[in-house]
Amino acid sequence: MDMLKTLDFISYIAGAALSAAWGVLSFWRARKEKDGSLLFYLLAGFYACVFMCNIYYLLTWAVEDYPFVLSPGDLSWVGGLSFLIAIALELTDKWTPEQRKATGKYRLPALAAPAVCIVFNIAYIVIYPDILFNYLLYAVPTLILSYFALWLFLAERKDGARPAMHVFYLAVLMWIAVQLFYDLFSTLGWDYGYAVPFLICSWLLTLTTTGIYFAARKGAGA
Amino acid sequence: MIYLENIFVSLAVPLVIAVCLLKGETRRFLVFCILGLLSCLLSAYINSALASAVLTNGYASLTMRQSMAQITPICEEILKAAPVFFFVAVQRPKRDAIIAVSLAVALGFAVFENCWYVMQHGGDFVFALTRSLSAGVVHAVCAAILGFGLALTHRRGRLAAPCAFALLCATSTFHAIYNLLIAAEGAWRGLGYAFPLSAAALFFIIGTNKSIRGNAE
Repeated sequence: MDMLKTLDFISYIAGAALSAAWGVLSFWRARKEKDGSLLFYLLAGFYACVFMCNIYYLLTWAVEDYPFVLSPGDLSWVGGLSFLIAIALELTDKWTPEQRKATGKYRLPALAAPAVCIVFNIAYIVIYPDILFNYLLYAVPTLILSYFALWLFLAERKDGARPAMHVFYLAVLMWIAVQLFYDLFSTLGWDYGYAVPFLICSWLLTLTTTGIYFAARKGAGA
Repeated sequence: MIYLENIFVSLAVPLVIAVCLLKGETRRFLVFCILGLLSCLLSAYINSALASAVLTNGYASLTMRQSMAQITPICEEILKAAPVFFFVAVQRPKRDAIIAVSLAVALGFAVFENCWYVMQHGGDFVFALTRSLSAGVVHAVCAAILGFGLALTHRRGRLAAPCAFALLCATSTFHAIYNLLIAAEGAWRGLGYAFPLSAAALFFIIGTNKSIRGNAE
């Protein structure tokens, strides 16, 4: 068990280091680019939030004890979700009215993503109802972001002005999916045999966070 | 015993008189300084109420130190950001005005908070200096993050609301990291005192270095 906790600790360090690196690169790119610089500023904001969340958890671990449920670290993660919502809104702002009309047909199927999120959130509440506020804090931006991510993924893949951006939305969807499983295993409990899947999700979360940067870079460069 | 209200009155009254005499941007700056003082007074009331509520309502695992590290920064950042959000929503100001207003609120807040803590510690000079270079700088850095972020996004329609919320979350966590470190013992506390100054230095380098600034200006 100690080795698993060490691996979990290392995953936080990796998460902090990688998000700091992608945050600096995003900021650098935003400073250099004229067109599309806001996208990279928002991405830098997202990575800054993820970085601070990881740092807060690591420091809580080092200074106090095992990370706390519902802390300012969680708030930073929610801030990261909000930055991703802002990116989705920024990218759709560039659409023409014709494109908007053409992509309207994907709005209804996109509701599948928040529906899945709701199922997961109901599961969390049933398993461990003590931290309802924490679930709600996470659930609201996750539902909004998942809806936008799936809608824009479907829309950009076929009718979008910048088809390469669908890779970015796919990366965001994968990140949300990993986060849902991460929260599920964390709710089920470290001490009840779910440590290994939780740890796998923790590392996958770090990987998909990295993937978002490369997907955005690919999309913006296309 | 020192009453918070007495400090507030002694700091705010000269500023109110100056507001009546001045005009334009200087007046606006002073008005938001006073709002910063007011938000510090309100946060003192709300923090003590929340801390006592948390400690007496079954959260046995939450100590006073943890409550200070977790509840205080969120409450303080919300109260500091509220006048800035109001200003941005109502006035539709220019970029520089948002940054100035955000820093003015933080300035008022930091002045009030530092006065209160220094008076509590009997006017110890070393404490006053350490406090000014740590907590004072934290407020300035948080205000800079909020101000620059809002200046970048406030004219982008639908983007403004999620960005404002995200910036509030980011500043709360930044402040919480500082509170967590200075509430600890030994080297962690030292790191806590160094943390805001390092962040401020980083902001200064980004703000003044032309090669980093690139063509964004």
